[in-house]
Formats: sequence, C-alpha cells, structure tokens
Amino acid sequence: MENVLTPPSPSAAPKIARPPAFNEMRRGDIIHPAYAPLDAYLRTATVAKLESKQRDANELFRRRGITFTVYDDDSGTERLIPFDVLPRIIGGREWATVSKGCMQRVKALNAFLDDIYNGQEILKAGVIPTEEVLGNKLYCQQAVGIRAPHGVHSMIAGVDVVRVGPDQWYVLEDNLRTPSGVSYMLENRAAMQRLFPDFFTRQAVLPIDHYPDLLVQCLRDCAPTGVDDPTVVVLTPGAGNSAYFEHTYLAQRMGVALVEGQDLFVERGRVWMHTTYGPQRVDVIYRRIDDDFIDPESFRPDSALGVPGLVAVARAGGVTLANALGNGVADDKATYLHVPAMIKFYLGEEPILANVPTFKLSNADDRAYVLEHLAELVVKEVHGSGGYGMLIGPAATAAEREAYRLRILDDPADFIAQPTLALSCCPTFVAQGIAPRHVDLRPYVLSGKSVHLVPGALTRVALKEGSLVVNSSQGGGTKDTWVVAEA
Amino acid sequence: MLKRTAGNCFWLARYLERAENTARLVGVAQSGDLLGGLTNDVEHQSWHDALRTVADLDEYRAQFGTVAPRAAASFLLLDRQNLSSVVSCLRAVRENARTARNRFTNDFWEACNSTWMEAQQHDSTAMDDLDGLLAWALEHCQWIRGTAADLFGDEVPEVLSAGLAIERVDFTTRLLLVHLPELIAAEDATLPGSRGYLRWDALISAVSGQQMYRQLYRGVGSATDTAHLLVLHPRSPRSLFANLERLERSLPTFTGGADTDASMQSRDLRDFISRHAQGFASEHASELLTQVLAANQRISAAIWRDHFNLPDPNVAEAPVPQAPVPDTPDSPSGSSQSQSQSQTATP
Repeated sequence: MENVLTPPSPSAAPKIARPPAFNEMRRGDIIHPAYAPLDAYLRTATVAKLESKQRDANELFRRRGITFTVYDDDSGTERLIPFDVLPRIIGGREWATVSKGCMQRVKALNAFLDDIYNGQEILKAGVIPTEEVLGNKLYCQQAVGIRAPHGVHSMIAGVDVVRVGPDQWYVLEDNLRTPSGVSYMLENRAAMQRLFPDFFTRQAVLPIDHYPDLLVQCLRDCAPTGVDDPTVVVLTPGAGNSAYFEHTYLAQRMGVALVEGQDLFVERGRVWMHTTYGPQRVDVIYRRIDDDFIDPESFRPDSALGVPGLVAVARAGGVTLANALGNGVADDKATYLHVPAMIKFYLGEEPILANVPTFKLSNADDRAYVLEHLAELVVKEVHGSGGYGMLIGPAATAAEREAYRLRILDDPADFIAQPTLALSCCPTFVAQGIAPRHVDLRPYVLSGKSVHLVPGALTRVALKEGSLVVNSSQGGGTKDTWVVAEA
Repeated sequence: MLKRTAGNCFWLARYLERAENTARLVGVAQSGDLLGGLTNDVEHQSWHDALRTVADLDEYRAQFGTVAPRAAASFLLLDRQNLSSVVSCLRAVRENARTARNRFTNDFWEACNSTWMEAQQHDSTAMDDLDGLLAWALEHCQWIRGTAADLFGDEVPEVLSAGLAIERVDFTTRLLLVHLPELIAAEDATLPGSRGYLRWDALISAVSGQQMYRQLYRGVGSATDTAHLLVLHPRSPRSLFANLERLERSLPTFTGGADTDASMQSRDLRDFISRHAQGFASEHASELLTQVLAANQRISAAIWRDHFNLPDPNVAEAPVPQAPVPDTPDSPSGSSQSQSQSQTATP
C-alpha cells in the first residue's frame, strides 16, 4: 500500500515554500463545529489524563491482539501500530463529497477492468491509448475474457485521499488489489468507544461496525452464476503474515472459514476445502495473496501459498476471486492519470474528486519541466507501491536528485511526478503535548450488486513534526475517524 | 470445520489441560516437600515424583543435576526450553488460538492472549511466591475454560472436548503409574498421617479428587478405591473410563460418524479397562497402565491422521504432532514433545 503522502499543488508553477497546511479543527479562533466537543474536552484534559488514556488504548490493543508480528527471532515479536487517542472528525456534508467521489471512482474503475479484459470499448474509442493498457506489464493475460459477476472486479477497494483545504480533496492512489487496514478502522472505533464513551452519547458519530456484514454481502453477491447459497472463505498466506490479525478478524466477523492454500484443492472444475466432514465446495475466495502467488500452475511455480489449478477454475467461472485477477493494471500510476476520463466515459459524469496534478515523464514537455524542478516535486515509479523507489525532491540531497535524474533519463516512461502537497492536519497527542500532525484518509469501497461505503475510513497520521510520511514503519500511526451527522 | 483448524482446537485443549495439570502437580510436590521434616525426606521425593510424571527424570538430572525444589518447580512452570512447562503450554494455547482465531469469540481469544501476555512477565523472581504463581496459573486456565463455555456449539467445543479427554487420560495414567504401585505396596495408607497416606494424598490431590473420594468411599487411602475412582468411575471427571466416554461422544460430532478408527479404538480401550478392572489395583497395575498410555497415544494419532490431517500427500502438511509424553513414566521422550509443538503455528 502506498504510504507516503505526496501532496501535490494543483498548479504546475514552481513553489519553493510549502503553503501552510489546512487545519481541520481550527481556523484562527474558529473551531469547526464537529470538533466543538473535542475542543471542550481538550481545554480541561491534563497531559496525565491523556497519557493514561493512551496507556489504556495500548493495553486494549495488546489484549485484543491487534498487532503486527515480526518474526525476527524464535519467539516472534508483536508490535503495535501507534494509535492516537484524539479522533479525526469529519462533518457529514464534507463526508458526502468524499463518499460519493470514492464510490464514483470505484464504479468507473470496475467498469474499466471489465472493459479492458473483454470488449475494450474505451480503447476503441481512443480515450486511453491502447499501448498504455495492453502494453502495461500489469495487464494480466490470465484475466482476459473473464466475465465478472455484476461486472465487479474489485469488490474491496481502498481509495487514498488527502485534503488540502475546506473543500479540496485529492485522490492520491487507488488500491484495487489487496487494500489492508480496515481492521484498524473498526478496532480503532471499538477502542474509542471504550475509552471515551461520553463523546458518543453527546455527538452523533455515524456507525461503521456493519462493515463486515456489507463485505460478506458483496462477496456473496459476486458468487458464480447458478450458486444459490455461496460459501465464502478468506484465503491467508498464514499466521506468519504481518496482516494475519486482519485476516482472522475479517473471517471471524463475517463468520466464514479462514483458509490457507493447503486447505484448498481443485477438482471437477470447482474449488474445495478440506473439512472434518470431507470436502466442502468453496464459491467465493476473499484472497489476501497477490496474483503472483495464487496459483503455481499459472503464475510463480515456486509459490507454496497458492492453490494449483485455481486460476483455470476462476477463468471458467467455477469460483470467484475477490479481488479478481489482473486488477493491478487499473491502480498503477500510469492508469491513474486516466481515471477522470474513465468516469466521463463509463458513467457520463464529471469526477467528484480530483486527481493530483501529475506529470508524465514520457511526455517531453513534462519531462523537461520536472527535471528542472526536481527539488520541489515528488517522483514515483509507475509500477511502484509502498513508497518504495520514489524521490521526495524537497527532502532529497543534491546527489540523490542527480542519481534519480539519471534513472529518469534511462527510462522516462517508467516515472511520473507530482507537486508536494500540504496535507491537512489534525490535533494529535504526541510527546510534546497536543499538536497538529498531517493525515491522510483511506475509505474502503465495497462493490457487489450495488456499491457501499460505511461512513468512516482509516486515518493515518504522521506523528513526527512536519513529516508527511504516514507509513507506520516511519513513525506513522492511526486515528479513529468520526463522521458526524449534521443538523 | 477446516481440518487444520480442528487440529489447532485439539492441541489448544490438550495444552490448556496440560498447563493446569502441571500447575496442580507442582502444588502437590510443594505440599509434599513441606512435610519433608516429618517424613525425613532429604531427597525431595515429592519433586522426583512430579518430574517423573511429566518429564524425563534422567534428562533432567543430566541437565540440572540433583533434584532441588526451586529448580524443579522453575523447570515445570517457567522453563521455556521445557515444551511441557506451564509457560510453554500457555504459549502453545495462545498460538493455536491465534491461528484459529476466527473460530473463537473475542472473550475466548482475549483470555488466551492476555494469559500469555501475563505469563511472559513471570521471571525467576516469580518463584519467590510459588503459591501466588500457582494460583495465577490455575485461575487463568480456568478463566480460559470458562470463556470456552460460550463458544458456538457445533464443532469447536466438541474438538476441544476430545483434546481434553485425550490429555486427561494421558495425565491420569501417568499419575497412576508413578503413585499407584507404591500405594498398593504401602501397608499404612489407610492410616491418616502415615507415609502411605501421604502418597495417596499426593495422588488424589493432583486430580482434585480429595472430596470426591471421601464422599464416595468413606475412609482414606485404599488402593482399590483409588483405582476405581481414577480408572473406572464413569462420572469421575478425570477417570480413564469417563474420559474415553467423553471422547466417544465428541468424535462423531466432527468426524461424521461413530465408527471411525479412533472411536473403535477408544471403545476397545474402554472394554480393556473394564475387563481388567481388578488388575489395576494389583501387582499388574504398571503393566496395564503402560498399555493404556500407549493405546491412548494411538487414539490421538488416529484422530490426527483421519480427521485433522490433509489427505493429499502432495500438499505441504504441518508435521504431525506426536503424543506429548513418555512411553513410560521412567523414560519420557523429549523429542515427541518438540514435534507436538509444531502445530502451534510457528512461521
């Protein structure tokens, strides 16, 4: 998952100084109405009190086992992702924009995936250059011709959104493969309700706890044709995976089996799991294993995590993979540029949420501009993710920029660039007390017969002062995200 | 349920029961040792007995030298190298619970997880308050068991019940192997306060059977009655007979039928026990108990092979957990214990 927030400014004009970040809670002395109860609380809360809440929260997360496992020794080390006890609060009207915008985007992206693996109308219409899609190394031949139930290829999508002003939201990235983190969204809320019950009685925080029920409903919606009472499973790489907690959590909350590759087998055109009663047919697999590892017969032959023959069954419509194969072509950075055009093409609508202005380095004019302004821009690999292999111009040394310049010149089409954005910030409890810290937002869009989005999301927060990096491995944490009803 | 998950539940139950049994065993050894002045027991016989019950005494001596109370207790309770120590068992409980997490309630999982978190806090200073440590261990095992009462009643509780039954047959048999022959040989066990009586008291305390025994049989110290209570009694919670019956009730609920190999073996073992009812209080006790122990291990292996394992030999399988304990109390096998650990989801 993309972790580094690279806030772009809509103008391509070079800017040396970063504009002041939008503060979601206060402008001068004016407090956003949704934050009024929190503001009142913080006026009287002592540091000792907040520290005590923070300890309670950590204890709670440890007891619930909401941890990442790092097996760097025999015993296995389990670490907490830092959790900030102060919520991020979004008003209902503001949320409506984000919510509609994300759903619109995912609808268009699903239509795009269904199209490019079948009729390819958007290519025939010349809206997106054919070479950019069919020549993309993430375009998956094994997915060609698969008819997805309801045309849904990404049943679970995470849309990474950043805010730079009261009504200015940008989509940073779409995650259509295996977006993770939703368990933190749900468990952060559960923790806040235990830690601060009074807030929830005073303020109409919209509920999100039904997410697993919507998820399983969407998964069942997408069962193969002719299956009346589908069996859904969650497929995990295993207990050693760092996100194993989330896999068990979702399986438990949906009331479905959590399987590993070794629990499944293919026979008579179907997928089965080994149960104590004998083989049981599996109809929908919510898989948390990447395409490359899912079937040694179709992808990496050395994968021990997958199920031999699974892809053939999926292609024949005998099982539904969620998310489907080959989604990577739609969420990489080259395709990202075309999402606004997709929305117009498939839905006949104007995009509700804007893309971050992006330079294509395959384009000579863009390239010339970017190479001149490397110190102000963020440059990313087209197929990269997780914040790897990128250049954050303002933070890089001259030598790093020079090295990166050579990489760009070597294969310009492999890169894009974006301006450095001033991410919005929220009050956060840190060692220095309460201070503003930059945040991003990941809502999870669910698609089945219809599209759903619970009123909430995962907020990631950069805990270091001035940092725009929300990655947990680099000092990032999470916050509960409240969407409050407005009168 | 998934076979692999069933395997996790089975071993979770065994390790939980083992943790509790071992804690009680240490308590009994400690009580016995406190009478050392009275019985002139300079060799710490009660600790030898405890070690013999669940560990390889020769290996223990090779590693730690002479049996000393504090070291023995630490080995049985806190030693992470000892895969059957209470702390190791609680870790295995937690790891199996984590692997099969989606089948459990939040309460059950939190009980397993919190117990392991607290168990990690116990260092050698915990030995300064042995009673407190034992109370902690027993309370936490019972807490986990209490939360298990709310698990959904289709298969999980039945698999847990099967694991419990196998482990109880194993532990009770081991205890009897250590104590019963000596009790049979003792002439003074029915005399309260005598050496034979203390031997009997240790045995009956290790299964929490003091009150039950007195209610059922009046008096104290009879080898015949003790064998009856722990081998044959159909309602005694830790008797061999009652636990084989428990196993036979559980098996069909997750194996799809009563006539599986494991069920038949269990019935055969129960018949064997009934047929030799008199023998358990005789000079044949050791021989019979040794056969029971081996048969119980075969049942456990059959359950694993037929109901928890993957049928496809081409699929990478978790190593088959072996029975956790010695073939005879005098020659316990540490190696089989390390294999049993493998089900606990090491990455």
